[in-house]
Amino acid sequence: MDWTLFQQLFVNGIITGSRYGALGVGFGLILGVTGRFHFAYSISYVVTAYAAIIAADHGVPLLPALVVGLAAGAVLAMLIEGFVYRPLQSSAPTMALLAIFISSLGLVIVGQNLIRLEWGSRSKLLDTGFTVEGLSIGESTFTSLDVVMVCVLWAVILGVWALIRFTQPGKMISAVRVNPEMARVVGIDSGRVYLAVFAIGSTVAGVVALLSAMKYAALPDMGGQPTFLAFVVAFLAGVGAGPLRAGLTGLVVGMAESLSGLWLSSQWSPVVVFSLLFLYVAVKPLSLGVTLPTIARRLRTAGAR
Amino acid sequence: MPDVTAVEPAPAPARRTGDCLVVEGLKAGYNKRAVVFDASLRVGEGEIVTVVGHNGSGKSTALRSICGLLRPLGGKVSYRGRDVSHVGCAQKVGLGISFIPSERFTFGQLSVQDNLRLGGLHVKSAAEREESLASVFEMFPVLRSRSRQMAGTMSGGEQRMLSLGIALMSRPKLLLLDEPSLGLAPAVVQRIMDLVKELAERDGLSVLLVEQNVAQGLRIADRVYVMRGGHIIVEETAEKMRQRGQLWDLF
Amino acid sequence: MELHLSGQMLLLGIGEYHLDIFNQMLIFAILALSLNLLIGFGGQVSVAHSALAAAGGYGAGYLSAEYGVPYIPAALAGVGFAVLLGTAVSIPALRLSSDYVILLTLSLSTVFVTLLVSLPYFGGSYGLLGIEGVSVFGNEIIRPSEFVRILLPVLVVVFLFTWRLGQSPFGRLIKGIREDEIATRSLGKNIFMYKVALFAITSGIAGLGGVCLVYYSQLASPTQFSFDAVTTMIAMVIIGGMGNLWGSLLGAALVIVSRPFLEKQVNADPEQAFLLQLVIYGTALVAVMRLRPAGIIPEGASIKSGLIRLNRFVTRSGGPAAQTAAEAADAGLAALMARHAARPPSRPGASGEDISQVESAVEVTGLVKHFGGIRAVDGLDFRLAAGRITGLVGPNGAGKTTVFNLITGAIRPDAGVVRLNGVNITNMSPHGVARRGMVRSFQDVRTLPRLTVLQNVMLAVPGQPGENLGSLFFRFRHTARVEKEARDKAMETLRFVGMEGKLAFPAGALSYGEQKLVALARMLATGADVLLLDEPASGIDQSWLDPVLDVILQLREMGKTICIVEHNLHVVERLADWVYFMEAGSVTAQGTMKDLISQPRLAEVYFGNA
Repeated sequence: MDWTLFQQLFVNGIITGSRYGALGVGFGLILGVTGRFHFAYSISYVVTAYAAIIAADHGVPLLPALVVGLAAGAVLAMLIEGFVYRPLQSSAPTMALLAIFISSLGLVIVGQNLIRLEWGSRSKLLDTGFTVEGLSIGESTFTSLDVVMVCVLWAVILGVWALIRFTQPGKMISAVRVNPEMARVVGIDSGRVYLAVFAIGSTVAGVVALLSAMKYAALPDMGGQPTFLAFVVAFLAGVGAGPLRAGLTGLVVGMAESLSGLWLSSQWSPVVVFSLLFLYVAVKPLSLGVTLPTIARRLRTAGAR
Repeated sequence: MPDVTAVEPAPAPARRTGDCLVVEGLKAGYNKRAVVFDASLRVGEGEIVTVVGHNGSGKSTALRSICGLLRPLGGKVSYRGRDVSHVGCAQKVGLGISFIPSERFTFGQLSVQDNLRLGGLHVKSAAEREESLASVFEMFPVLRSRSRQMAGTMSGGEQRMLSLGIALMSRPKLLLLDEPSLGLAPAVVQRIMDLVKELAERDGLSVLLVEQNVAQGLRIADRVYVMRGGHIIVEETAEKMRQRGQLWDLF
Repeated sequence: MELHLSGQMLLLGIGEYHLDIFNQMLIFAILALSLNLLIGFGGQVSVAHSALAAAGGYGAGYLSAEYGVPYIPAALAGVGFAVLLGTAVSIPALRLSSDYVILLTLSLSTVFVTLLVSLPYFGGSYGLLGIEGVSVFGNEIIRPSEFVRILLPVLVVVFLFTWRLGQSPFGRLIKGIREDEIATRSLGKNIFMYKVALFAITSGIAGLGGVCLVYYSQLASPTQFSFDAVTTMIAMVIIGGMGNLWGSLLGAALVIVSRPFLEKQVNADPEQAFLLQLVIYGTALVAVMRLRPAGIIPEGASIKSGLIRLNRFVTRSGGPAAQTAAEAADAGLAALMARHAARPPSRPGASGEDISQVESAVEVTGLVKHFGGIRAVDGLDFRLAAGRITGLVGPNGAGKTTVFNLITGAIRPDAGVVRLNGVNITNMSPHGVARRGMVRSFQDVRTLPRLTVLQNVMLAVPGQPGENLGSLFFRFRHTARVEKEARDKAMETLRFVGMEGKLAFPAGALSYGEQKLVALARMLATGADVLLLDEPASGIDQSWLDPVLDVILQLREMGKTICIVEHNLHVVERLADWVYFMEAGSVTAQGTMKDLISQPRLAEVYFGNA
């Protein structure tokens, strides 16, 4: 085995795996608590990046610009939940899954193309505010930005975990996820919890987006691939799995995708991820039979009043 | 069709004047389809009222409409003189009405303590909440010893006690219980029913209880309603019902 | 999708320009029809159809550009590839739950397009060029006016094909699966095979659309099949109306015409008009889902029904629509009560015969089922005497509904044997058991709401060649004849239960009691001899009880073997010849209702003890 290649791929795997993990955590939270197939996750992703870049272009210093971006993404997600998904849930409860998904699709197209219309299709870069240095361990190379990325992402994942585990709002979120009916019975306003969850989920996505904009650049369609991966990781981890499990699943997926480069050329890496998902769906019918009916039940109980 | 005619309702035992809960002409069901047709009942202050009936007679549906998990399709629900027909379940907690479902009545993946704290969400001050918690632990010592344990790992009876504890945290005046005996061994059912009666007497709670286990439901009740096929067919004192030779006619 | 205008076409004048737009409409219409068939009729959501179109287009294009394969075999190969890909991806998802189709098709879409861009064999972002031109009898087809002569017939064929499918028993079955999979399966249909077949067919049509697109533009590029493309396809179907084929044509027309329209009206350059177009589709998707999920033209609508509605609106005349649902139900009920009074009284239950002398239609021995640690059914023995009504009662949680699920094959027993007329059916699939002659009803009725009452019952009639694709397209007379027989049979059963007056109503518009009667008619239409009724008296008002129970008694008069699970003991007393008492997963007593009532121990079990 080519050890040099292995080391490089391993390091790459950690970097991409951390991204996938964070994406899975954010999306998994939304899916696990609300049951919504929130395809428009990619819109929060894109909007966060672009809002931060636009703010920076207008002279806003880096950190506030980042905050602006995150806020924009979170607010947008909450608006989508409040004005698109929720009304659909009550007006067409039997078709809710389909209707929400199709509306999501519509929103993504609107968002992406409005951005294209306004700012064009060329990429925009977000300035990191510090000089990026090349680093190496053994035979693998990476940058200081990569180190920052991995640290920030895991801080975010752990932060979400701590939020859910130790704070009261976090416990209310857990309550809605674990037993939506009991949550209503004890007086929790699930509407507010849903909004909070959308905000948190898209903030996590936003962090990934900002880091991505720093490392690669922002494009109008930058949200597509990450959302796809978020879906995959969330489902592989299991709907309703905690942030830690989702994060680790993402790491495994990223590592598998990267290490596949030992045998396949990198062009084929999307197939690796798809194959993982395909195999999982094909081979484990019993446990999977629990996840989407759970979503369906969530949608039904949520719509009962 | 029903060959048992309604009996003259006996006067409610005079513990306190006024009614805690009055339900008139309730129509309830799922997806706009009624399974409860025109049900009327009342619970006096400090009374324990039990509703029995065959499975599918609509008793749980009626209770869930009263508590607000289901929107009533018709009729009126009044709590202490106030119309609460369209008040949601989550808001009713603040008014002093606590509901305990028949299944999945705890947050299984959270600790006992977290479960109880969630029950006390609507309590105004942290101090009051701690007081409620202490009081619940006193009533159910087993919960104190398991306070850090995950609720779903406890036995059925213990979880049932936890569900009572959760309901009590908000210091309710009216308790709505849906089939508390479901899934429990006979000895445990006995204990739970005794606890409900103790609580009602200690705190002056009014209780509306839906039960599959007629004998146990009758044991602690003051008055009884019987439902069949979505209608209330009998209303009488528990004493009178206990004196009936057999109950097959009612089901 | 991007329009590929070659320089030549621009020089040829306005006529060609308009025909070019028309050609694009035709191609898009093919794609819309394929997706409508899957989403509208089948109720599955697939995001993969642009990838499947790409599979077809790229497949044919690659063979043509790399190997010079002539267009007809290349087109066939492309379509074949699309079918294979679509089927392979959908099989695991369809086996589990139709919601998983979203997940897997989404993944396919993303991955496929990424591959098309990154793999060198396919020309990367620029796509494949050098695709051979189409020529018919030696004449090369270049201009739009020439292409029309090929594309229009192709669309007509596709339209007729999908129309025929939609109207046929096959289409009815597919819609049944859409409305309620479990109910349809219980009527004896192998729903998995039909779901796969539908996916395969629509994949093929999408592939055909892709082939047409590639040959028309003489180019296969990833942008033609991007995410924007799939959203455009969905927009066409949603806006035009799910389940309505004419709507898909309308949707395709609107979508294609909108770009030149935008270019002229808003004075935008082609690039901007394209983006604006997409923004409009996206907004339209959200708006339509919110305001009018059925689309502009709802399913089943035709010019005739539209005119009728228009006429009513204009003249403000009454007619059936003016009655409220409650009034209609009351009128129906009154008619049914009249029939009930007019019928000769049925033999009441528990007539005193010796039930052990009657042969068994169904025998169950040693049935066991554990769920985790719970013993739902624990060594159950019982039998259904032929031509009699057997009751199954017991306290809640005794396992009664589980028994139905076990003997009809909905869940697998851990141990035990089930015999139907002597045949061992223990591990048979639900549709297999139904075909053998035992069907069940559901506690929550489960009629197919958007199908008419007649369609609901016709679906149940077994042995319909129209559900088979071969017969559907190659044996018209035979299919039509059997369809007529099925219709007659369905009408007969509807008359039996008294619901023939409502045959054209969608089942979802009926009152609950009426739906129960339709469900009974449906069971009768299957021709099964053994009918398992799960809580037939639940959820209906007192006044509906008599007609429903009367039908059940009449079914026994016909010689059917019936088993009812019921909690309303008065109903059991009225109906059952023999009753089994179930307790904690096994039978602990049997006899007539009178026998059971006289046993104090059973009273204790049923009502609890203090």
